[in-house]
Amino acid sequence: MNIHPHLHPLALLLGLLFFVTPITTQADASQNKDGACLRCHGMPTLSYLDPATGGLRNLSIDSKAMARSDHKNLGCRDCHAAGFEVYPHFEEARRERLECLNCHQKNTNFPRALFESIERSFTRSIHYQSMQDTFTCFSCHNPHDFRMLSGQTRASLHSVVARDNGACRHCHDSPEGIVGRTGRLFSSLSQTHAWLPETERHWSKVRCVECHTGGDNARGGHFILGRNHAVRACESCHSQNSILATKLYRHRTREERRSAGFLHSVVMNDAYVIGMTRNQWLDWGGIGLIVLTLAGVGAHGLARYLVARRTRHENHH
Amino acid sequence: MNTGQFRQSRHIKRIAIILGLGVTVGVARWIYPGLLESYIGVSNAPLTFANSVPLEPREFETLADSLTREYRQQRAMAQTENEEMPFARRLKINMLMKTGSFAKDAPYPHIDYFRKAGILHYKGPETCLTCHTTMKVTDEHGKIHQVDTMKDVVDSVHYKFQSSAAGFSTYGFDGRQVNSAGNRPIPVGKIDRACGVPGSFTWTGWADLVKTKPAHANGETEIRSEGCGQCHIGGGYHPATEKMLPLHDAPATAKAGIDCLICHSPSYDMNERYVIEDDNGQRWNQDRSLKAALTVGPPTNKTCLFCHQHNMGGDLEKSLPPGAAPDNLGHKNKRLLHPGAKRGNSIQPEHDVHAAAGMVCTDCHKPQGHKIPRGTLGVDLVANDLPGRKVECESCHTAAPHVKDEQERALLNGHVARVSCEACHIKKLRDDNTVLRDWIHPIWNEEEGAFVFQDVYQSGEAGRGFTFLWFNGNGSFLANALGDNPVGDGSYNPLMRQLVKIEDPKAVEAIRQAATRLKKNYPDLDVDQYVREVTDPLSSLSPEMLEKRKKMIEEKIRPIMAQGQSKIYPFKLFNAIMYEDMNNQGPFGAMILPFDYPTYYESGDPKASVKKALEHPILKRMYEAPFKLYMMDEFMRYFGVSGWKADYPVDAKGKLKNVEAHWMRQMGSLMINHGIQKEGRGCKECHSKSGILDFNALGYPPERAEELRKLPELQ
Amino acid sequence: MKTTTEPSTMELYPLWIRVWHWSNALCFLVLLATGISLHFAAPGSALIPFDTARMAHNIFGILMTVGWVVFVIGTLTSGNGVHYRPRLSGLVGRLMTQALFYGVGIFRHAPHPFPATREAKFNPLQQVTYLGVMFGAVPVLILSGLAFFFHDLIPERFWDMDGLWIAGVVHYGIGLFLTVFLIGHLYLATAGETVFGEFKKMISGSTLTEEKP
Repeated sequence: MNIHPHLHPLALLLGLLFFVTPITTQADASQNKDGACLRCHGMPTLSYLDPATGGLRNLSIDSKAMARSDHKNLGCRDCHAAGFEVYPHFEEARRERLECLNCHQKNTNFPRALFESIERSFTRSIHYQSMQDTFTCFSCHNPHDFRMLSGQTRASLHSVVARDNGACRHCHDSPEGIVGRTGRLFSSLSQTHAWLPETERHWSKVRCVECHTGGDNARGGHFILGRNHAVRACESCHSQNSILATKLYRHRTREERRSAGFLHSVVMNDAYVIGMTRNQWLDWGGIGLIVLTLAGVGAHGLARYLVARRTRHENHH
Repeated sequence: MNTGQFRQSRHIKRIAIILGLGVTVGVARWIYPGLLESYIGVSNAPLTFANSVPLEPREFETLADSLTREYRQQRAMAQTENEEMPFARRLKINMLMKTGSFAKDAPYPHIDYFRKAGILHYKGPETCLTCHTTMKVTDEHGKIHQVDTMKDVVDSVHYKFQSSAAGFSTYGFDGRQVNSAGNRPIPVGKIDRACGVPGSFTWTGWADLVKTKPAHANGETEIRSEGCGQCHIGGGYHPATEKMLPLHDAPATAKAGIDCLICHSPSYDMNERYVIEDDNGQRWNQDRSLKAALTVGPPTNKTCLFCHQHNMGGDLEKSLPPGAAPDNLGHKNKRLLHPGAKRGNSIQPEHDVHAAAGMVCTDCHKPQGHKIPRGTLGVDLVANDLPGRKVECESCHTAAPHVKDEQERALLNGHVARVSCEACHIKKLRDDNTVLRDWIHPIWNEEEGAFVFQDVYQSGEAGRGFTFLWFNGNGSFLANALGDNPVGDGSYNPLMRQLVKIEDPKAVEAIRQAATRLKKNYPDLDVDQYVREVTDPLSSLSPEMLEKRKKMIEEKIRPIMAQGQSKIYPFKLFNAIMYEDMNNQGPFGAMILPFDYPTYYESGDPKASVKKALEHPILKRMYEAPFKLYMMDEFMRYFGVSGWKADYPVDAKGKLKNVEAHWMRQMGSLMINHGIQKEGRGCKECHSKSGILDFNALGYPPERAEELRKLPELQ
Repeated sequence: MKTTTEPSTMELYPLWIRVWHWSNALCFLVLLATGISLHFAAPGSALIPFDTARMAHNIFGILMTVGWVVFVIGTLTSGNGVHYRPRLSGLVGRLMTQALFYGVGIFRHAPHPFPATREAKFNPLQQVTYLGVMFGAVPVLILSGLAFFFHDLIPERFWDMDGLWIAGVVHYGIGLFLTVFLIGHLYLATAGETVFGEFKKMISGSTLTEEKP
């Protein structure tokens, strides 16, 4: 594909918006191809109330988010193949059932082992266990704006947290929605997390999955556990061996993590986490200072004691 | 100083302060209002109404019975509507009237309240306030406040029709939001706005009696009523002027004249609404009968339309429900009707889907006490009681309103981001929707027996009677919708294009014919020039003015057009030719001068009428320093003129000076939101070569405009 | 000014000062212990559990703030403030004298160079240190601690660092400095006329009697 790195975002910005001509530059072949789709699906309010659920079914594609996503090089029809040739779409379009693994399992471009392990984790997660096939990848991940954690820059950590937690809260913020899918009535998030100090601040700084995948990282982010198995000990994160280092910050480069300054330079840039973001030099310096003080005071005291004993001795004589 | 002296001086100080305060209060309470009244030439006096009479207890009961029976009769009629045989229907009605469960319905709770309280005489607000001294008002946060009912009414736009508060969606041509923070607030609203309907200077045209000589009267004179006061709830000799002057409240006599029943009583008799004259001047009569008082309740469509019919279907709409204003012009001094509909969107059930569904005005315009929301969007300079309160389709219909058509629903909903509901669901206005009104060439009307202004163009069609503009909720000081194409090429400029040019051949032809008609009465009229001026109002601007106008649009107005999220809305178009004070002219227009109604209708001499109106004390005050400083300077700055030239436009010999007749420099664009039809427009009504949307004029790049006209899906 | 030759007495440590002093000491010790526990938190460590430590640190932090406000008001209104106001002329010399006493004189049973008087109950070294601690370090410690309660008021980013991180480091640094001060303070309290004399005075008070000419 012929992508001009400079033209690309501009062309997307202009070309993919609802009311704009398809840009007839050679910028991106797939853009022209998608222009027809986006003439409708680029409308931000392309949606309808689904009689089955009563909820809003959104058919709109945010082309700007798509252009930033990991799937940016795909055209619409690369995934949505049969039935979408023309508008109105054919009947088979209605029956479309896409799955991530259709591409990701057979494609040699992707580490097979990774997706197998995700699938293993996923099938053992509380979501799959309780909802089976009605819970799919798409329940949490929107392929039109999906970006892997590892691909994100340092500065966007907050937005990563917001987006990932948004996926959880999309369902968990509305207990009614969960009743509809599972038949179980959940308490509201603020009730179940009442024990967690500074709740909103925690939610804006760390991802739900940090705690809800247990204390060790072996399970991976997709093995989401029931509430009773979630991490609840503060020290799990608030310590030098914080699980955050192996979860949220796992994708920092190896060098960054190995270097002594990792926690200082990277994590502190993102957030101040008591117990975790310690500066070793400051800590050693502090301890040294106290030891020195104690030593000085001890020496002075000892000297006073010795002098006093000698004086007493002399007086005795 | 010894303590005795000290104490004494403190005493004196205290007495001085108390005296000073007393004098100040006295001045403020008694002297200041009197001074102001004499300065602006208004008078107040206790108001009496002939139909406010006490009843005997027996009469009360007879009235109560007949009201209840009438109500049941109406219900029985409604219930038997489908019975085709008239005799059978009559029998059925009689049976229903005798049926126990049917008769139990007591429609008017106030009958019982009045009976228990011994109220046999409706004396106006004082009677209402006997029980309703205070009322509970729920604010936007759901908090309930106990407020003084009279104060709540008097502070509402329905009483004072102006506001000095922030909350206008209107922007001056100097780029400032009217009365927004940081600007000196001035009273603006319908009471003083530069309106396209002269005479709606409420001070000069509040309550007038016009002598007409209709053909049917065989040379006899018929007195007719005219003036703004017919629709405003104050019953005094002038509008609620006091509320717009500093530190001044409506006097008690004016408050006692408030007409509660015109909004609250469905049996209010509009025939009682006519101008009466007494020793203190002219004012509007009102229905203060006990009959009207007994049927009070929350406002209904009927009561709202007593006044708002004028700006919905208009004064000439036919087959209105019984009691409607245009069909009940007065027991005497009948009100003059106004031909040419102001907005031309009828809200009668056959024209409006919401009215047909039995909804009432207050379902959408949910009142907060006596304050009634008009929504957050607005192009005209009308005061808004509840600026933050939304009145919108989405709050009921959701963001995905199209449900039934499985094939198209999502696509139709897709349009919601760019196209307003009204754009598709108001397909036409009434045929008598006024687009161009000529006030300076009145023509004798045989039937009315008066000289009447002429509409040189009326149309209810898309592209002629109304057009489509981008709108973000902001309006200019002269009622132009502001907004911009969010994906446009920067060429969208309605103040230099859509609103200043009439190019539609059919419209131009109709205007030419109208001008030719006028020429019969006004032989000096140059038809070609007339057509040129009306279809190209900017032609009256000097080249420098035109340059200034372009510059101001780019510098001051464009940033306001770019705000928020614009959508395409339909706007009723309007222009008028009126006399203007050319001393106070800017690139967007000049100060419009009012007409004196009687002179206008009786003599057909608009210039004499203007001169007469200018004699009114408040207009003289307008051209004096205190008013200039108090509000006119600021008003003119919003108008796009650097300040108010307080040069009274009548010279020493009594001749008008610097007064010329001109069309407004751009058409006004008024929001239309009523008359909603269930079936919206089809795709091809816009997306075709001859579609109703001019995509180029709406600022789309040429290729995109072409594409929108020829969508491949529609080929 | 009174002129009399009668011996006058003065309470060096009035009751309110003693109450404040010991409650402040208690607060500081709890804060130190919990602060260490929070800073060095680790799963399974012998320190105070994180959530207990957090709670205690919050409560005692607020108590110490209240105590500090009481101390400031008391000091400003009771005349106690006199003792915190150093005379600048010759201050360096007097500081040297006092330091020389701790370094040398104390071992030679030299008399205290600046015994407590009505006008100055602190020696110059004490005066400068206490002034710095009570009116410099402690308020900064309190403010940086309060920053954690009102983090919404702290800028999100500051010099490309998390805003709260700055407050954290300041809080940590001052805490460390005050811990060092505490050690010195405790030790020098033993350097009175007797080893435990100063402790006793701070518990039961000490009446200063001096004769005025």
